Amino acid sequence: MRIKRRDVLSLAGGAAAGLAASPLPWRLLGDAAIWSQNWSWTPRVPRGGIEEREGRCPLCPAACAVRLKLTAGVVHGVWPAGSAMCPAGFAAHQMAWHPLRLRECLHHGRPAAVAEAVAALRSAMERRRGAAAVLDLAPGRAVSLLHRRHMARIGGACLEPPAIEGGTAQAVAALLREPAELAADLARVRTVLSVGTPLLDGWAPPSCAAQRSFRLIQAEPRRSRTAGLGDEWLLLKPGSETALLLALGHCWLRDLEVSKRLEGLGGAEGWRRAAAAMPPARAASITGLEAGRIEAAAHALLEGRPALILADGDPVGGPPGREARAAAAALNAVLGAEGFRPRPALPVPAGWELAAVQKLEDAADGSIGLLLIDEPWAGLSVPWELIRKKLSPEAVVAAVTWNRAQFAGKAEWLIPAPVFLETLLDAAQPHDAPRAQLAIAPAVMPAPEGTVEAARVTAMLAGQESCTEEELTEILRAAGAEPKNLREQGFYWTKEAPEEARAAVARIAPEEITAERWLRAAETPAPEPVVVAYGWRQAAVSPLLGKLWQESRLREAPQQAGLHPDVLREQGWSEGAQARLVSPRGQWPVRVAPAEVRPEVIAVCGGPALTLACDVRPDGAWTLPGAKVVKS
Amino acid sequence: MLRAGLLFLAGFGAALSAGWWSVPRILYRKEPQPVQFSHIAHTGEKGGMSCEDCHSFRSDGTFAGIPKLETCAACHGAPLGETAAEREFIRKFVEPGIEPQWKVYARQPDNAWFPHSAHVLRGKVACEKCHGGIGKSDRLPAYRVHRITGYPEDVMGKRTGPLGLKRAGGMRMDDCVACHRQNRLGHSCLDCHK
Repeated sequence: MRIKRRDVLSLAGGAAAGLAASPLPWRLLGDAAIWSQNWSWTPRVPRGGIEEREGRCPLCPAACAVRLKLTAGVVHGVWPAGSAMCPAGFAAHQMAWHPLRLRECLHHGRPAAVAEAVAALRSAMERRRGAAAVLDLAPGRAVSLLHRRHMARIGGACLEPPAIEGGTAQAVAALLREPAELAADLARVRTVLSVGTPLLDGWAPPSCAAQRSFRLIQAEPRRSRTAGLGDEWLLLKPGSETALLLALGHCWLRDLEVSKRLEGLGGAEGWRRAAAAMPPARAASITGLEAGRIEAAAHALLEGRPALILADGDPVGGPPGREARAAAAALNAVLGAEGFRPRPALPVPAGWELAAVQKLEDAADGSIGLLLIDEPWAGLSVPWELIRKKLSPEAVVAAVTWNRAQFAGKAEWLIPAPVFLETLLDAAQPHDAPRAQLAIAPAVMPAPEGTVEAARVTAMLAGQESCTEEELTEILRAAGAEPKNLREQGFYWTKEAPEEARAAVARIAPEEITAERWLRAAETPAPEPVVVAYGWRQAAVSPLLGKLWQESRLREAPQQAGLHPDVLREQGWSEGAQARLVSPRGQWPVRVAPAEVRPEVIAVCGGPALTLACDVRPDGAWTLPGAKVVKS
Repeated sequence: MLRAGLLFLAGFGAALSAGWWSVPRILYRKEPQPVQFSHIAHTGEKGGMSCEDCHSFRSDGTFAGIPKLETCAACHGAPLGETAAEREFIRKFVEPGIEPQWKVYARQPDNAWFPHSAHVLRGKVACEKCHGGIGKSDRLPAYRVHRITGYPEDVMGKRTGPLGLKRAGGMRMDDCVACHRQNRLGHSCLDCHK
């Protein structure tokens, strides 16, 4: 029999079809995918007995109690100990293996030794091209006290970024008779008006959303998770917050008790005139809300006292304008700041001299010759424009950071910092309860060689060789505690404000805010289209979180642009279409999605990179100027 | 045309058979266990031991897994009986104090962990449900490891599902999720993944 080419092809075709119908090729495909999980460069957890330790998560002021699962000194699981915990807490131990982790000291992008960096910073300090300063991106920690102590020794300054969480409390504190640090008292209030504050989504502990006992009115230009979980959502135009808050004041002025309270308070005249000139009907045309809803909200707040008005802003989007926050503070002051209570001070060891804390925005332009940025964990950022303005022409900037991307190209020196569970990190002060806390996470994993804590760098600049752990122990002793095995067990100390603690309000608004300025701020429309940036700061802790969210649609992942469905239709975009957010400050790939927003709004879920690129408006709000979403 | 059809069918049949026949054979290789351990000799009438005597839970609830040499040596410090296997075990492992490197049939990937206490103590899942009748076997089954993935056959799945597209009878993520779904239990990522 002669074999023809046609025979060979028939046999081969049959064989190919037969092989495709067998499990072999599909198994090989699946197995190759599983094989890819075991690439040599993926981090591995050692095998062995699982050990459990207790600790605190320092990644936000909630400082949740956690159980750590370790094998051979490597943490591979973080679990809540007795209460709720956010997804970032569950993934917190992954930060040590974050792909963006800075693992060596860099000078202009080239490897260098930490000792070289410290020597260069000292030399810059000696050359006196301007003041030395530390920018503490997570103020309110025990480590912040160390920075202040070290900077006091060299006559340096301690700078804080613009307050976002806790910003309204600071604005109210500025109106007090006696200076005091305030914290919101969510456990005591019955009604809360939150203007763009992610109150139930990262502002307070994760259990707050489920356990809240107050009525929540959320006012913002997009349906955020807080708006969805709240009792009422006021969909107002972006930038019209001041008008809404003044209109609420207008309604309150009719109340006898409020009018009586205003008598004898300084700074009330400007606010009263502005509020009187902003009836709900006028505010309705500015905010896009119905006048009746504004009146109803005003009455709900007065009738549901104790009430709290919050205008803290979003961690990624930044604080609201100065006048909007002052208007929120004024409403709280009218109520006698009943939603806030003074927070006890952190203990300071006897004999410690501390440098005063200054707001970054209040520092003189061009005054800083040496700036050390302390970025202890993921998600912290401020617009670079704000930092740049404060630097002298030949300033040296160093960032002690876990991240090799954030300040790359901006800071001359990048010094690698140990992360959560590798060093004694402590949480900032809570915003949702009037208590002081020292919540120090244990350092149960060895820090990579070459990493150094920011407090140790400031100590070296101050010519001090003592270690950070000893100084932290001194603070804990000042709190009346004697920590044992601080490094292994961490520490938690808290001091509640006394029951009767109340803050006496002296003023209703800063005198420099005249009625004209209030009204000008209320009536200045935001340029369209308006980018409303938002994000969950802790999302940057682990890239796995973003991936899970994106795939599961549990929440918006970074790089998502929410547009009004009509706008999507006009542009011919389908949900999930790839696009670009373009602005003079840069461009970012985004996926478009329909969102419950006003048509002029682009709600961008962003991260620290977006914050860093923002501009700062004259009123202190952060903005991405001239931004638009275009097809990619 | 008939000839071409027949040849096509011949090729189809041969490749199909070869594909089905070869999958378990060429994808796995056998690896020897360090000792040919007899469970029945220990758990039967003669030994009288229970599973928990060697595969115990620690006081904190974690599972100790395969016993260490010291557990074996507690009884086998000196030869028990006259068999060559017994003498070999004492000579190779007990006397020099070398831990036998057991091949674990149910070894899970490094990025997952399987809490025995949650399944056995709380969920009352019988050992046999996952480990079959190994506790009553006289010889250890062949340890077959996947050539590509490096995982044992018991984890990868011995059986092939409908159309050969999926595996079955293993301890892969799909199997965990299926069982949790069947029993209406939670199955979030971080329940199992480190």
